[in-house]
Amino acid sequence: MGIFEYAFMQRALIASIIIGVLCSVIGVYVVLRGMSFIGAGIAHASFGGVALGYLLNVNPLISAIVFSVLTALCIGKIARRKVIKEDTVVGIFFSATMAFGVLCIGLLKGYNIDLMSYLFGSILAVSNEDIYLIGGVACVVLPCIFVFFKELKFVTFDPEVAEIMGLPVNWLYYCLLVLISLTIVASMKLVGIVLASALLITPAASAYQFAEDFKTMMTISVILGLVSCIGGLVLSYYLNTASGATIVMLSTTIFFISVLFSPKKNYIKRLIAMIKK
Amino acid sequence: MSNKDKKEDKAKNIIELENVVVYLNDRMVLEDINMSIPYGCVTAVIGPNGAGKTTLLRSILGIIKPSSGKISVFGKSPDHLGKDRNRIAYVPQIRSVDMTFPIRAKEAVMMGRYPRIGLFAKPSKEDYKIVDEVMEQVDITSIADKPLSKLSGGQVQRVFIARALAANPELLFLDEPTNGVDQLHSSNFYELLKVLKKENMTIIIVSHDVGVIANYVDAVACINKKLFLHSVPKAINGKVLSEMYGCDAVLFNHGEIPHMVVCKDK
Repeated sequence: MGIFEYAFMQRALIASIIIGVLCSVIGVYVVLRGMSFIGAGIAHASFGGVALGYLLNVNPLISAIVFSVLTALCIGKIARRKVIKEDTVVGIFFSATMAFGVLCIGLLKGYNIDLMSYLFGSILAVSNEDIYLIGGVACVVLPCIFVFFKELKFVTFDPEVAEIMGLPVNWLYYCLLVLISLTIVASMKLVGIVLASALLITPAASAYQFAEDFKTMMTISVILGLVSCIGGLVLSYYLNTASGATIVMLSTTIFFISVLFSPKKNYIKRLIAMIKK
Repeated sequence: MSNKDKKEDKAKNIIELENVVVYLNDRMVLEDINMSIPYGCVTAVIGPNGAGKTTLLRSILGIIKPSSGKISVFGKSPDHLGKDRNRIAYVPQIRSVDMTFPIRAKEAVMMGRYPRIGLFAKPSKEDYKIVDEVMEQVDITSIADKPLSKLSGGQVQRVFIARALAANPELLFLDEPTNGVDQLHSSNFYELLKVLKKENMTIIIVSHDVGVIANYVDAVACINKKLFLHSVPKAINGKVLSEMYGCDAVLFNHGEIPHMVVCKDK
């Protein structure tokens, strides 16, 4: 257990475990509802929140949570009206919030902010406070998913019928947007703003290759999320590489292997058939 | 709802449309629709492709807001149904749903119970029993454990019908329920319709299955942007209706004004 003797590695490990579970649970909804782009948009919006936090001299994670939740709700509100397409709305907010962040940083002349660690994550950057915050987010997100499990499943599967039959579809949609925002901000320190959305999508997308029912997809997603986060962390230590990038690359590798062996696609079977010919 | 309210409710029509006009993207899809559907009436909505049949359903369901006119369902506006939504079930066209979604047939059917179970609670033994019964009713017990992606179009259609029935609705909407369903299960569906009618369910079916459906419904609403109402003679039977519709179908081809035949007296 050599590598986990260091306090910073212990913190990174705890963060990896919580984030691995959070992202892969929320990711199932993101992937199945086709909300990947919204996820990426919210992640980038949190950069504006971080910058604003520095400018106003408040904890950047707190300001990032407020900022990205509000941005997510704005995107959701406008997209729901269906006058402008959802991806257009996300595209606008995506760059606008980044631009806002850059302007804020510009106002902070003389400050030396370690922007790289926010953008791409750093295991050294995970503090005790961050652990409490990540844990706090998990204590909000996971019970919400547990309580609204069946409703979120119905809404994800067939939003129109769910609405007609009396489920609070709008309310559940906004709830999901808030949960996505919280999850992204929680993963920010470890994997970074730019890479957080990958962690949200990739484990769930890998699980989708195998799962035949909803719970199985969630279980596989969580397992793959944990393998990616913990495995990536250990790899990054030994290879002396950036933790966030290593985690995402490992996760992506798992995704391609999943596609290759997916019983839904049968690539291997087709390959063997081709060779036999 | 108190008993007294319920009685008053029954006296009125379950669905009423007054001068309803619907625009979709600046195109008029429904023009001045007047229509009333009494409790327990089985109505078929028919008409050519793009005639506004699905739009009519969606307007009644409160998904589309009419530009003018008044719609009432259970005596309320469709976008303010509140708890009464639990009395409604809907069978969508299968092409509107992601068939690759990781879900098993019986899971999808159980979803019909969700609005009744309510937040925070899990399905009870009673809910599982109802799910088993409705799956039996539409003959999908043998495929209960199969994922949706491995089912045929007709099987998925029956899963959706089962999901709607699991909600034990008073008002049931079906959008092209026999599309892609084979002959045997299509006639099974019409037999099921008879059973549901005996249970006093109010049913509205959008259908292409023109010839057959007239034998199983109380009223036929022909729609092509506009809709006209015609009373039906008391002596009407399925055969007459079917003949009448056959006539209408010819009229459609000539672009004549479509019309509706309202409920026969009960």
